[in-house]
Amino acid sequence: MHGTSPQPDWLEDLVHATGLKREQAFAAMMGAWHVPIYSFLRSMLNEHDDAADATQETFLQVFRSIDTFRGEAKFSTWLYTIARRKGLDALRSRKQLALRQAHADASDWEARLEADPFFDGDEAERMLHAALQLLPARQREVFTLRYFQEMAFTDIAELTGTSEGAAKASYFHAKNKVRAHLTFSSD
Amino acid sequence: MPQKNTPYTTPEGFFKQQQKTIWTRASSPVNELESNHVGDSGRYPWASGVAATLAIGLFFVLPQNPEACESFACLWGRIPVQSIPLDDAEIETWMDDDILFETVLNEITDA
Repeated sequence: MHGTSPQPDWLEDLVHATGLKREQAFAAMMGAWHVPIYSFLRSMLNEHDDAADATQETFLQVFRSIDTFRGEAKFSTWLYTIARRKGLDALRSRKQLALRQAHADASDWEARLEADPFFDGDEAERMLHAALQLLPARQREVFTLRYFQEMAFTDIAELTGTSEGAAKASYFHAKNKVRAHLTFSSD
Repeated sequence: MPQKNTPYTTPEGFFKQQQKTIWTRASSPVNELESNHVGDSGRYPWASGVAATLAIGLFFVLPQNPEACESFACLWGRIPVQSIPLDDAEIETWMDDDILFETVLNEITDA
């Protein structure tokens, strides 16, 4: 995401084309980024409905403001920046705060995940994702971007507006907390 | 971008349906109608004046809530969700601070 990598082929058409060509560019963008962005937001928010809403708002904003994209940053950085903003907006909602208040322990999250029709993980995955939801939002997003999305720390730093060292520190703390929880749960 | 598979799933056909919805909403002429609608108020320049006068009048006429909030939770409850006044710096601080995060949650619980 960092550096001078070429922009995606469809970007030019998404910005300048009209009609069918633009629709095809839109479909190409969605084909490349729909699932990753949803996954990122789902890890942040846990709830399918919230992640779906934030995903939709992300791509709507991308589409509506694509004219302002100057190409100085990579498209993916710009996209994740918007997604992150939508995720933070969702985290401020009463629903999310109430959810997090009502699920203070890992066991609460594990029970919720077990009952979630849109979670298909085994016990180990339930424990991992329960631990993830207990992290502060900053650590959760950094852990998600690094561990699940396999993003470079330089990109995470650029995306979150921090230094690479700070991003590494957040990941380090998050990883230790997750590990501690998994160790504690398996004892 | 490579990414690990996650156990999170979606309803069947979710991505296809959402893509269709986004495209429909993004390319809908409603957006233009909305922006035109905003422009339409220029036809009635007196309307905004009447509305402002009415709002100011109501502010003084309607009874004000005498109780001042003493807790974050009280303030939170009175603020429309869409206008929660956390600026970027505050939300960044909040995100980094486990204790503050828990405090906020507890205040909401206690409210």
